[in-house]
Amino acid sequence: MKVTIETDENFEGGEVIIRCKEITKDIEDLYEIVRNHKNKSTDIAFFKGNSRYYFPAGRVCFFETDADNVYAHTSDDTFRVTLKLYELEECLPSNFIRVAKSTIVNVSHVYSVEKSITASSLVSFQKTKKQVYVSRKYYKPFMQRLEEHYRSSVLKKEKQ
Amino acid sequence: MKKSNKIFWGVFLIIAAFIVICFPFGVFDNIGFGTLAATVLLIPIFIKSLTSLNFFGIFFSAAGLGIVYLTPFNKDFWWILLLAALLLTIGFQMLFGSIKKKRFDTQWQRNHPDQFQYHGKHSFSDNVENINGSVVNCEVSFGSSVKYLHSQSLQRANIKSSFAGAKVYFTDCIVDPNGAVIYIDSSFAGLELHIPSSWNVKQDVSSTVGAVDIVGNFSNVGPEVLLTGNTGFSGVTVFAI
Repeated sequence: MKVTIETDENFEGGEVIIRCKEITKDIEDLYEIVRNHKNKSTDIAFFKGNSRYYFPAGRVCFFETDADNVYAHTSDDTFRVTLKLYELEECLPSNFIRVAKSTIVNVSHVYSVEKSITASSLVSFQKTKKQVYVSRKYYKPFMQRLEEHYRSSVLKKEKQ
Repeated sequence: MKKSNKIFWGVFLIIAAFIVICFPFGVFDNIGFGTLAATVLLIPIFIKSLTSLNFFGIFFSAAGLGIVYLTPFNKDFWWILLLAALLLTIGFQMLFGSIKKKRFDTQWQRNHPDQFQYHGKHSFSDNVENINGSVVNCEVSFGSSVKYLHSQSLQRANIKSSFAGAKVYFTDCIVDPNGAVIYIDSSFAGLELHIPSSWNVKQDVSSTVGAVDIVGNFSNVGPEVLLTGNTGFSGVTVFAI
């Protein structure tokens, strides 16, 4: 595989393009590595009352914050988290994405997105009545991440 | 029957009796049936709204009476009256909305002296959203929002929604053993409350041009959670989850 790096002073941010004839397992693995290139740790401490809970962050549907605390919402429970929202953003894997000033969503738990042109769009989750709003500022990146996640999970199922 | 409904029906019947008595003497010969019917309906609404300081009811019922009696003289007057009613409602709500809540607090403490103590420090004029603790405040205006309340011993929740769509979840709240009050103040808004079905919820919300719907069943045992407050031009849906 040929690897090329192109630098452009006028280009802002970074972009990785993988050119290939067809999507193989190697290409998929490379895609996952690039997507999760930061050292993502899912070891987050969850608290409820005086108890600490141990479970993978993947069970969390979304994180939301009020003025004082950050809460992790699973489909049937709520836990307190000691990290701030921006710290969570840095350590969570790529299936978590910020959708509002006070909310981070796990796209793998998204069931539906009710779009609104004039206002925030409403996100519903699987197996729960909980919902959150996606603000207009975060809507496009959220939908891109959701579609990427959906495409990669469909590809994985086809391979199986 | 709720006290507010008693006021409405009481005044309605008194006015109706007055009209019935005066009718044979030709007192209302120059007044049409529609005008009479509107008067009989709007005056009780006005008085009921006045007693509960429901500004929507006060100004819109007064506007309605104005439309009924003044429109024959000036056909374009109706929209002026409605616009004035709307502006007065918003203005009075902004200025005196907290007074209405303090009145309720005093009334509630008088009626339930053995229950919890509400310190009354929180008002809707505080532009701070405290959604944690035994007394939680939540305000949503001009937009859509989902709020998740958190409390280990919920005694009171003040929820205000105006010109907004708001969803409030109580799934992470535990009711104080002495009971709790959920006070809602909703105007030109759609409000959804998601409350655990294990709670013992009693509904006593006063509505003007609106409705409070309960979807699902709540328990009849456990500390009482009183859902109360005022709504105007709003739909409130309470989900038992």
